[in-house]
Amino acid sequence: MAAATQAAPAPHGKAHADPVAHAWERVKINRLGLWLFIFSDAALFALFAASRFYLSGTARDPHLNQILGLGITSILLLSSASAYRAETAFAHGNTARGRGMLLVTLLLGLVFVCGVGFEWATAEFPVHEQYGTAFYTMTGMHALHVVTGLLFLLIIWARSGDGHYSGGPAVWPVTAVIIYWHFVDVVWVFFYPTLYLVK
Amino acid sequence: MSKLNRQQAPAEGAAQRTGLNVFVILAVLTIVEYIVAVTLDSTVLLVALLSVAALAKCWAIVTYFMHIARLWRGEEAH
Repeated sequence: MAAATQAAPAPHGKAHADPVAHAWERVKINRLGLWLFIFSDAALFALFAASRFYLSGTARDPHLNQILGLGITSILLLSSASAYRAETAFAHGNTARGRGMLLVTLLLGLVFVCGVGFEWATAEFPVHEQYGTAFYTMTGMHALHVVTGLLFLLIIWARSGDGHYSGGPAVWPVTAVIIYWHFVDVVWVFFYPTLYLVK
Repeated sequence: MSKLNRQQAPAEGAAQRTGLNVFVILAVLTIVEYIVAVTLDSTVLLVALLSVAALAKCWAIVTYFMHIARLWRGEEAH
């Protein structure tokens, strides 16, 4: 198997004497692809934020649950910290801690989604009003990304039990999912003041 | 503990401390945002301050958590 891997020609026709160097090269390309996706997705979220100010100016609904907003924001920040700990642990070959931190991140993400669900269930402003349209669209799209991130985290967590991501370039799938998770956090860094704090 | 793990433990500890420091900065900025929004009445000043805080938080996450510099540096070590 190893001999077959070494004998296989590289896609661009140049033989790779060092398979590890080749794997890092692939990580570099994958990283670029991920960031291109992130930039394009960020443009979508930026348009959502712009539409909020276009629709309702800086006005916000007085019935917003500020404590809940601050609470779910703190939960998401905490989940970013635990995701970072997970990535660092995997990168240093500490799979047990990495898996534990992935689980913590998953749980915090679930709490965030439940918080958004609670906000939706108890919000006193209708969806057909200008602010309501912006609020439900922005939080809904963001929550969809959070749920997607949770699915990715779950897959990574399940596969890491078999020692799939044990250091070096093999950690890339974990890194990619966690970069995506941080991106979801970055979006909320802008959505929180846009929806809850500006007045 | 294997020899490799013994060598990696200090590096992992240093990286974890960086993560903790960044989280504390993010938490403090979030609390500052909330307090400013509750106390300030000027919309222009509020939008300006919230924008600065959000950009600072974004920079911290993108730099330290998302490792954007690896796009051009191309190394994986923490």
